[in-house]
Amino acid sequence: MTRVLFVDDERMLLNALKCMLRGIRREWHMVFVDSGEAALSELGKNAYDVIVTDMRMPQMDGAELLRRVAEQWPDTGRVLLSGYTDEDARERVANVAHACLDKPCPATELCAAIEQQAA
Amino acid sequence: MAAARYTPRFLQQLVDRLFMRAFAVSGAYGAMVVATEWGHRFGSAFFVYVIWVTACLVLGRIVAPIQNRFIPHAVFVGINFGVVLGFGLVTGWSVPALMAVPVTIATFDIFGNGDTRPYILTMLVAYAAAMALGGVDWRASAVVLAIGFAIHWLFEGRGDYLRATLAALEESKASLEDAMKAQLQAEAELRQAHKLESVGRLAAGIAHEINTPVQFVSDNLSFITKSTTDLSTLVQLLKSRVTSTDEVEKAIIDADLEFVLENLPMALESSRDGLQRIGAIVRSMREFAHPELRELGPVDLVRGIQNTLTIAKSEWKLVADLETDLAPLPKLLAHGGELNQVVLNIVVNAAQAIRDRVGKTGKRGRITVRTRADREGVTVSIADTGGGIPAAIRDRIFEPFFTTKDVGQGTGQGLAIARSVVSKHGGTLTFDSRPGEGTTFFIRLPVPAEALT
Ligand SMILES: Nc1ncnc2c1ncn2[C@@H]1O[C@H](COP(=O)(O)OP(=O)(O)OP(=O)(O)O)[C@@H](O)[C@H]1O
Ligand SMILES: [Mg+2]
Repeated sequence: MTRVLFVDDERMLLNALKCMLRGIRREWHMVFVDSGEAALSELGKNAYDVIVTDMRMPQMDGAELLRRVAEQWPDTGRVLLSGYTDEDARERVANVAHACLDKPCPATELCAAIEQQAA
Repeated sequence: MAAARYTPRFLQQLVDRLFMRAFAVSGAYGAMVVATEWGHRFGSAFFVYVIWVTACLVLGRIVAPIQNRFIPHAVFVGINFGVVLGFGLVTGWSVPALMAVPVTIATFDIFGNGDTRPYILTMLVAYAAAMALGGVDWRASAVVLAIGFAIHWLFEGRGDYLRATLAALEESKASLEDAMKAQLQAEAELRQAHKLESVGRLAAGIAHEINTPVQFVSDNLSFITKSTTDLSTLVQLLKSRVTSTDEVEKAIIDADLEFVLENLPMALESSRDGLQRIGAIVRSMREFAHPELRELGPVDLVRGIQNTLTIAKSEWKLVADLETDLAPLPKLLAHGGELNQVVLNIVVNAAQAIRDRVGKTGKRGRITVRTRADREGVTVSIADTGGGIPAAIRDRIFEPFFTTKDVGQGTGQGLAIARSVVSKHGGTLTFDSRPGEGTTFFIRLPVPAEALT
């Protein structure tokens, strides 16, 4: 079963993802956390195939989170799902993310990206 | 270009000028000699000199216009010639001859319009004639002329000086006006550029603010759509086969009924919330940039502040909490868009100051925006809990292009623009800052005497 970790500081977004992806709960094991710090501690406890994170979050942002993930868990697929990525953030994220998706992102596209990273 | 300055024409002019000045000053010095000669009779040489020069100037003032209008040059030259020669011969004294010089020179050098050479030549000829005819002591005259030349080098010819000063003043006034126009133009362009830049920067944040709810609202909708289909299938089944509990049980599991029933209301609720958020941002953006606000007109400042805070939300929301205490204000007569810009610049600074201070510590700061009205006018205060403004740069923060931020973070125009907008509206922009505690900016604006609707 593919293990996917979702990170976003917006709880409503996590809930909506959870509901939308409910249909594939038998293929994916999904965990939802609301900060980069929580994501790192979750990764410390369990292995994940793919991590999907927002960019703008308080304290640790998406680029920083993916950088640390790349260092410590290089096998985990890294996907950025962001509302807006400015020049500066784009640069920082270019080397650490396997895929960058823009919000709003259709479910099919998001699933396809995750599947691709999991494969 | 340097060579052009020394063309024959330039040399010609130089010689002309020197020639005129020399005689103007030698004339003035002649007056000094008169003063010394007569000085012992009147007690004070200086006193006589002052009187004499004054008389020359006054005479010049009277004679010049008359001569300019009624007496042809030739006649005037003749008169002067006669005066000098006559006095020289009759008295046998150098003084009268010299008397005429300053009168003439003062006349033409200061009040006439230029060419004093005919008169000076007249003087010289008359003087030489008087000398030749034995009426004038040549040594005294030579000394007078020599000292005159010397003084020429020390002082400027007054008339030329006045004219030159006047011309220079005219010129610098014109160029000052040009410079002021250019400055205003440049300022307007900069203001526009800064506005575009801050709008660009905000656009990033606004996009994020909008796209996140759009994402979850559409995710919710896909969930709701799918759940509805599942539910209707279930209901269909329940209707047709109420008896077979096994099948119903399976349908319930397939439809994930428990989860659906639990999450449907929440998905609807959060969708409504998300759409409201998007609506608020879009509305604020529209009002913030409303064309009417470009003109001078009645302005609801509180509303402008609320819109500005909504638009700038992404600037502060990660690092600070916002506290507003917005007392209703009387309508102002103002350029609403420009006042929004002032609030925006100060709020963005506040957010940046807090971000610099809290960094990645996870702590949060606070931005407090307050409005008050009293008899003097209205006050908007914007306080932050950033690091404060160091005493060393307090005098400079309103200077255009003064910034302590990195390239890309700040251009140093925010406060310069803010101050010029506020003073254009007859108000003041001040601040109070404590290092380590934070900074409060105060925008004070006058209210119109009569209430606006
Ligand atoms: N609230 C504040 N707290 C601490 N320092 C401030 C604050 N507001 C302004 N400053 C200081 O004043 C300087 C000038 O501010 P200003 O808004 O004019 O330019 P900027 O913010 O650097 O650039 P820009 O506004 O053009 O993006 C800033 O660089 C900063 O050092
Ligand atoms: Mg600024």
